[in-house]
Amino acid sequence: MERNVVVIVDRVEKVYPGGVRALRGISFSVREGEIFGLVGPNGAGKTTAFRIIASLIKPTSGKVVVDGVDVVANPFEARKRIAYVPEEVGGYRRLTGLEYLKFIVTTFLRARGAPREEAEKTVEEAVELTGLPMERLSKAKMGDYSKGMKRRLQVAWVLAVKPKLAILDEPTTGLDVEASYELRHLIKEYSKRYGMTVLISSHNMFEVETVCDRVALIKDGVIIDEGAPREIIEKYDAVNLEDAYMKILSSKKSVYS
Amino acid sequence: MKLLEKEIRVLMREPMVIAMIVLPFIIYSSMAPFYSGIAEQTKEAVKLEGVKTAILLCDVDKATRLLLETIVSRHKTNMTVDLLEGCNAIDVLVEGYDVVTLINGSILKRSLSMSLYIRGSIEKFTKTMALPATASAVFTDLLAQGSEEKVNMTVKSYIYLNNKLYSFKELSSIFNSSTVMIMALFFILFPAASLGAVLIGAEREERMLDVLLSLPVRRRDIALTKATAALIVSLLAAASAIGGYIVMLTRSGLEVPFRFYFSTLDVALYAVALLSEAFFVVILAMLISIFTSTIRGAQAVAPIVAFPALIPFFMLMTGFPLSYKTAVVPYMASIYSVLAPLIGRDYAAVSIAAQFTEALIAAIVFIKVLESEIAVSGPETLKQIVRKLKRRRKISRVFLS
Repeated sequence: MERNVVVIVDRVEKVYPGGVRALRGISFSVREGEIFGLVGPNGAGKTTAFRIIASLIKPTSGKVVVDGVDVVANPFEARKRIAYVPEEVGGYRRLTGLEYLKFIVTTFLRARGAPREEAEKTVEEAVELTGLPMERLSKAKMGDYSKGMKRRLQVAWVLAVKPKLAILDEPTTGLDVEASYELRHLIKEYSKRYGMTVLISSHNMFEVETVCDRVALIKDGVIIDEGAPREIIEKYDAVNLEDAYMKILSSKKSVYS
Repeated sequence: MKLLEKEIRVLMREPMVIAMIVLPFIIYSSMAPFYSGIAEQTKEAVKLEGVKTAILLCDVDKATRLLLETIVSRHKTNMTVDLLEGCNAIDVLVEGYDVVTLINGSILKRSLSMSLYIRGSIEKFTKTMALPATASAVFTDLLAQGSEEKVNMTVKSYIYLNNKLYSFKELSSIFNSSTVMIMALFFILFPAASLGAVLIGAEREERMLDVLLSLPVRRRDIALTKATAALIVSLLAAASAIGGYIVMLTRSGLEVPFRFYFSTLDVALYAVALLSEAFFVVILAMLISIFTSTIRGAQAVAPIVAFPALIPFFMLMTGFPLSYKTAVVPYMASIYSVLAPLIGRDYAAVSIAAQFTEALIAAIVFIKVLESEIAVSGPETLKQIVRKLKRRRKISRVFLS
């Protein structure tokens, strides 16, 4: 059965006020329950694309639709469908991890009109997803957490609220091997079980290859190739996605050269 | 690089810290005309230059009258002095005299009472407060010179201000009470501005602004919730500071006679004025702190938005043109409501309404900024503005050379 298209990015351009062209008319679409990876070198435009989809910044031109809602025309409605984990890991220094989860989960679910009981259950689920001991979550302030712990909290709330679209900008950065492994499995499991669409960016090609259903390679604000990881590997006669990625990049030193 | 050098470099590279250093100089130096007005008024009072005086003879005997006539004809002061008959000083003041000296008693009995009536003016408040001392010293001296024997003299000073008569002591008390109330303004404005700014600066420094702005919360709610939180905490801080300040004054034996001067309605009016100004300052601080990337930078915003509140205080001391036009200027609400018992509540009402409107406009601008991309890229936007300004300066230099 053909699944619904949840994300439509249509000829999106972004020129920052200083004149930097971060995106040069990118287009892609992602279906319900699909995990879509955006990969590319630093400064390629991945974070800009995610920020536009998350309605944090506006595109200079083009259109972004999430679950039928135009994110530029109706950002508030769009935000009810999107949960976003930015690249830079953060947290309120003076709040405990549990307080943070309660605040963020309740705020998100209240906007969707969920009852209090559902919010409480979701917080419990988020606590479990962090994999952190309750003692630590309820007593220690986030200022004392490691980057990895903060990252786990962020991804945990996003998965627990089960948004229509989860945007995860480098979700495993700062995590150890074991935590990264668990997180990748959780992302796949939640996406499959709840039909959650996931946009993910990562510099870890193994991660992208194992987690993503489809991948787009972006460079200098342009998508230069797109497809299932297996297709891309075969197309470039590579041993894995990392090999394919390097072949693509070396064949196109600059998109505009 | 030594630690101190590193710390100074870090601070001096924060645009808001630079603004905190530069702006007070610009603000206060631009107030020079007001401040020189204070000196001017004090000089006028000391020299009695252009002061029109009447000596009002009320139940005095012939000898005293003769003495006073002699004094009036021979005095070498800068003021003009007329000798009049009567006991109603206020009527004479209203006729156009600046000072009326009402004399009672007899030089023969070596007992004279002198009551000085000063026509006061809010616009020349410094002169009004300085004149009684100067004028009474001059008259006491003239009378002492004119009489051969020592005369017992009692001197009282009154000030006629906005159709009301106050004793000098009374007006001094009012001035002290008003000063305490103006202090209260700073006790609330500084914490309010600081907390408002830090609430935004901390979101950015803790890398949570993007997450917060991506949540399904209306920007209006973010702005108002943060402003309310900053106001509640700053009110607690202000209450503590005002309480401590009053305890300090009363323990030092100073009177702070609020109740004598301010009715309950006046106090309520002042509280509303204070709240409107604090709300304005919180919103303004949050708006500016959007352009800061650290808590350090955000903290520097507080003096930038709170310092201008001193301007009306200086203006009051120096010849502040009371009008509805000045009442609508930001930061004026508290000063007009402090003056309400002297000048009427109309100005205060207009000023408070204007201050609330200005706070509302600032809040709308802040919400619009939060809705825009500047909320995400504030510090970067500031850098671009600075870069543009530098580029323009370079271009204009090239053209000039």
